[in-house]
Amino acid sequence: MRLKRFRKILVLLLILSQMSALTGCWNYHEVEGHAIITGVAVDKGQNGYKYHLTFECVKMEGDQKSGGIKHVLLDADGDTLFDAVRNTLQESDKKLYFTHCKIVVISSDLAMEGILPILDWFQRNAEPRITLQFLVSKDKTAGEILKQSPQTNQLTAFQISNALNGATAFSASVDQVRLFEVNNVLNSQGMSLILPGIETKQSGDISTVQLTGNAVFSGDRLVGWLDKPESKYLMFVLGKVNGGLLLTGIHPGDRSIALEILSSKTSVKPVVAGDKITMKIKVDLTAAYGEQNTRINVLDLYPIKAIESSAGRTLSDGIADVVKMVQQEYSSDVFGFGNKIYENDPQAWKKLRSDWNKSFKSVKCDVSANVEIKNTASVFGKKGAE
Amino acid sequence: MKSGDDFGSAKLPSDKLEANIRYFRDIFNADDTLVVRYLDNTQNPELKFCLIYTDGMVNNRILNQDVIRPLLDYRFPEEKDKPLIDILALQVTLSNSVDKTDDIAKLVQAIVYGDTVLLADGSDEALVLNTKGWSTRSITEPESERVIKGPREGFTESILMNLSMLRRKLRTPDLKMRYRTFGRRSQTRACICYLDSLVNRGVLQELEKRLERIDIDGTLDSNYISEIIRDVPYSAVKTVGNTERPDIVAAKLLEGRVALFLDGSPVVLTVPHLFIENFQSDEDYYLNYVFASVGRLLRIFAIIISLVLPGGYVALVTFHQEMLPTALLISITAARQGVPFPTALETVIMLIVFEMLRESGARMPGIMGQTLSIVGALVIGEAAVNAKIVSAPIIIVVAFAGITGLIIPRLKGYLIVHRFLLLAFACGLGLYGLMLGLICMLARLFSMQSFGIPIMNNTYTKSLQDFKDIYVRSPWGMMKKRPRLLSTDLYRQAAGSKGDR
Repeated sequence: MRLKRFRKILVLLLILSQMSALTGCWNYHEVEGHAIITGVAVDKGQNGYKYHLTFECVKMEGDQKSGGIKHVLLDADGDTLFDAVRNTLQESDKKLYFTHCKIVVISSDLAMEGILPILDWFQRNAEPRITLQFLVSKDKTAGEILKQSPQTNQLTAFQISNALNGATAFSASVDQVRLFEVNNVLNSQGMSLILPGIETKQSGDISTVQLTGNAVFSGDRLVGWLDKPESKYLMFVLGKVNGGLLLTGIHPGDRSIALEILSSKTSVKPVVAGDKITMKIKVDLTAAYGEQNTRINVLDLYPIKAIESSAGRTLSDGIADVVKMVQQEYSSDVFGFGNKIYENDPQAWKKLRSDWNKSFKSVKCDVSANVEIKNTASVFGKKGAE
Repeated sequence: MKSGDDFGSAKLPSDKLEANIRYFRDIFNADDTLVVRYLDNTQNPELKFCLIYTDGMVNNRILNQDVIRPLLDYRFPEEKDKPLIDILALQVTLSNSVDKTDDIAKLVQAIVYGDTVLLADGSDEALVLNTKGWSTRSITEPESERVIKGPREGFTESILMNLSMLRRKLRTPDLKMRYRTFGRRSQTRACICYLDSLVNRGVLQELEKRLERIDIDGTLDSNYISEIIRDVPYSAVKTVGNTERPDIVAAKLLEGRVALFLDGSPVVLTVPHLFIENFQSDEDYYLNYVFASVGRLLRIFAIIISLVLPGGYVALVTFHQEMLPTALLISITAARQGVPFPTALETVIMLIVFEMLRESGARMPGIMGQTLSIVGALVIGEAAVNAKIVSAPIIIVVAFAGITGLIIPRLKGYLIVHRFLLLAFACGLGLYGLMLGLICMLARLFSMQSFGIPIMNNTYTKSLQDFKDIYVRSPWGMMKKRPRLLSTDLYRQAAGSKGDR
């Protein structure tokens, strides 16, 4: 009887001890024993090392009442990323802790050589999240991006990350690209990677960082940049616009009317007829009349229909221009046209796949944009100029 | 166990007054409170009587006016057509309860319980007259179960008064009250109450079976009995309910439960006791059902928080930092800078400190309360954090867990034990351990029974009707049925009436 009970307890203990080994995070560690990393910058190494990594980490200082956190930078060289991460332990008494890391900034010269080797450690290691946001530094090094002192947040990485999160809703020229998205694009067909760009900016005495256009990749290598206005039309093609402004005017080239984008829907339909490939790009946009930067009251002089159609023209011209520019300069399918063909006409894609980069250059675009102005608001007392 | 007053079936030794008195004096030797009062009838001095009672237990006015005066003045007939003792019982004494007996055990019990024994010369039987009269506490609202709305009366230490309070709520002969006595030396009176047409016979028989087994020298409070008859004696979960409020007892009886009153204790036991009853308050039934339901949900939620919070905090902060929002992680890290103890130890220490504060608050005289709050709040809360001995989040976690735990004082024992248990699991295995601990706890709860009824009865039922008084309190019009398994008669309102679902 007693033996039986003893055996029962023994079995239970055995099961429990086995279970403890099966848990994912079985190690007890105190929060203050780690350095919380918020951002990583990857540069080419010096002194014979392959990589030079800069980490922004959170430093607690003072008492909690003053909110006391400050950003502190660690840097280390290494032949691999992991090597560099471990090499920081020669400098820091705390292990780096990556689960709250938000951004990875890659220097442009490293990106030109290809980002695949860099991605591996971020995917393989347990700590970094798959929602890490990737950026490319337009400046010489990526490290100096993190070295800028943050202006609107306590930490530079958080400032950049928050700006990226809100980007599509307000400025509509860049969109965040997270680790899993980088991975998805690199592993899919007929689609090229773009990453948001970042650069330092000097405003008066203070130097800070700002988002700037998009880096265009061919495969995993950086091939060039799209500026801010071009990037905006790129976002329209990708259907990633949730807000922001569209500057237009009654006459071509005029940018005096700002339309606030309320919603935007893009459909891209490929038409493959033999060698001729035409992409039908259709944008449906609803907007509010946000500002008229004119001395006359445009709304009095022109019907809304006219403004709508001229805005549609601005939009479709812009899109056609950016497609043409990318085709000519980078021949990298950042719009995902190939992917659209693959989705709609897999048979045609089979033939096109092997030589897509060449075929992409000759893709014709048929852009139509339909802008609808939902509301204008009335401004009291505004008279047209006599 | 040998007890001093084991008289078996001894009888009054003789019909001589002096011999009988000597016999009682022998039994009560060295008891100076025993009063022996001799009386001679004034009309016929040949007739001698004797009253034996305990001083202080009797109502002197009743004794003087309604017993002694008639005995002195009564003109006994010359020709006796019946024995003297019967005349005394039927014609002379002015007492509402007169019992003729020659059983020594009964007579001794009567004397120690405030009754008066009347011996008459020439009779080998004695009369027991009801002259009980001692002071009792008046009916007040019980401190531990206060309500804002609803009846304010609470039980007292007198079983007769308590039974009368219950009887006033349930005026039906269906209410059965059966006396029992516990305690070899204390001879404490107890009473089993139930509604005959509703009671679950199985529960009643089980209760009687368990009460039968009790053999203890004294029962000073109903908890003595409660702990002996519990289903799981060593668990912190109670399977016997208790209350100090007559309205709660009446409500429980109306659901088919059985109540046990014990003389000398204002706490009445009810069985079976389901786990959800801990969360039900009598006020739930007196207030608007929406408010009552919100209150009950809050109570359940608070208890879960109180159980899980310390363990959960340790698990998140020391095992799963990636699960914390970044801002929270940073502020916790900031607070932990320079704190000497590991988080787990910190939590254990602060939980013990909280329990000590609570215990001293409960034990000390009320006037010292201010000292406790100053020392507790200022020294431990403010100073310890400023001195970097403990981190601020720990204080918040422990205080929150402690305060939510006080929402249901009845569960405090259960909470203390299981809070530490879950904390230990969490310190060892993180969230995984916490889940494991919770599963073990729930499995234990679901396996427990109270007098044959599962204590988690109805908490997981599919039938909506059974659900109506578990997590929320439905409007009275909708609660047609009594809780399942508790009662033989399921319908408490006519089945077809309006609002039936």
